[in-house]
Amino acid sequence: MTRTVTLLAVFLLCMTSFGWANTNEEIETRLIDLFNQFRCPTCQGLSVKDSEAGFSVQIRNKIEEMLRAGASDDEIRAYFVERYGEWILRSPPKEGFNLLLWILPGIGIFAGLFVLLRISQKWVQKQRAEAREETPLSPEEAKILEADLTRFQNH
Amino acid sequence: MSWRSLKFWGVMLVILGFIGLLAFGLTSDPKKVPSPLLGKMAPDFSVTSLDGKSSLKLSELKGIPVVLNFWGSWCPECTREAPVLEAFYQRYDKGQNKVRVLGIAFQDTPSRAKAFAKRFGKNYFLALDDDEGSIALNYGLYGAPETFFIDPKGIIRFKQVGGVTPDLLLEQLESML
Repeated sequence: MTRTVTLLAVFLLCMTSFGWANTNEEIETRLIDLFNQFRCPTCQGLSVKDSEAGFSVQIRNKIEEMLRAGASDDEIRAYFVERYGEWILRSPPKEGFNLLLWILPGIGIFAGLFVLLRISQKWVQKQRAEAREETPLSPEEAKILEADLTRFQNH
Repeated sequence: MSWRSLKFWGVMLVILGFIGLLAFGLTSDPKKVPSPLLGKMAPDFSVTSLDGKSSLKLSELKGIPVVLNFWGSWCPECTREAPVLEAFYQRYDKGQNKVRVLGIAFQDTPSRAKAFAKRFGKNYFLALDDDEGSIALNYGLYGAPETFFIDPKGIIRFKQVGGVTPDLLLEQLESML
């Protein structure tokens, strides 16, 4: 009986440690992902993850504090957007007017491909038409052809 | 208008649009986008003065306009605006009680901030943000100096990125009274 209880306790301890390690790993992954989403306010083109500027460090600390207090990713993003505006996000949210920023490049690529397709189709049609056009033989060419054909008949 | 010229002007419109967007992107400073805090209640905070003699809670200042200046002893532009803010304080805060001038140093140390205040003869209420930069983050700061103009109801009416000038201070004070 004592042996069973001991085994059960060890099993539970292992499971708890495993769960704790998993939670910590999950928090680390979320932290890195969030750090990467925010722009360093004092640098050019760097995320707070890649910057050691004072503001970046403070933003990272604030994100970690909020996350460990149970805030969702959306709540953390909203906290900073409320104070800095959407500028603080490295990728604009996919909603409202910002949708244009996500859709326009795709539309541009498709429009470009469509234009290329139309131009190439026109080129092919033009070349085929030129190939189909019958150019009459010059009098000299007609004479040579007639002479050649006569040789066949006389053979 | 023929189909051919319609096509030409269509393509021109797209090209000019892209050039316009590019020019706008290259010439505008992304950090000077209007603060989302404008028109909203100023985030509240409590601080102890740099000399440790008094403390202050922003929300308790309602009823009088507040000029909230963020500065740092490490900031070159803060040295240029320090005498302007001090003169403004002497004339309109201490002299006429028309406004409260507050200076919050951030990303700084007490000794450096005190030395800076002494060097430039700052007499208005000065305090230091905490190590986490709670006040600076709450106000969405990019750097120093930045100044917020808070009306008597506690609403942020204007934000100045960079040093303040006498004209700007007077104009904003006028609009808040």
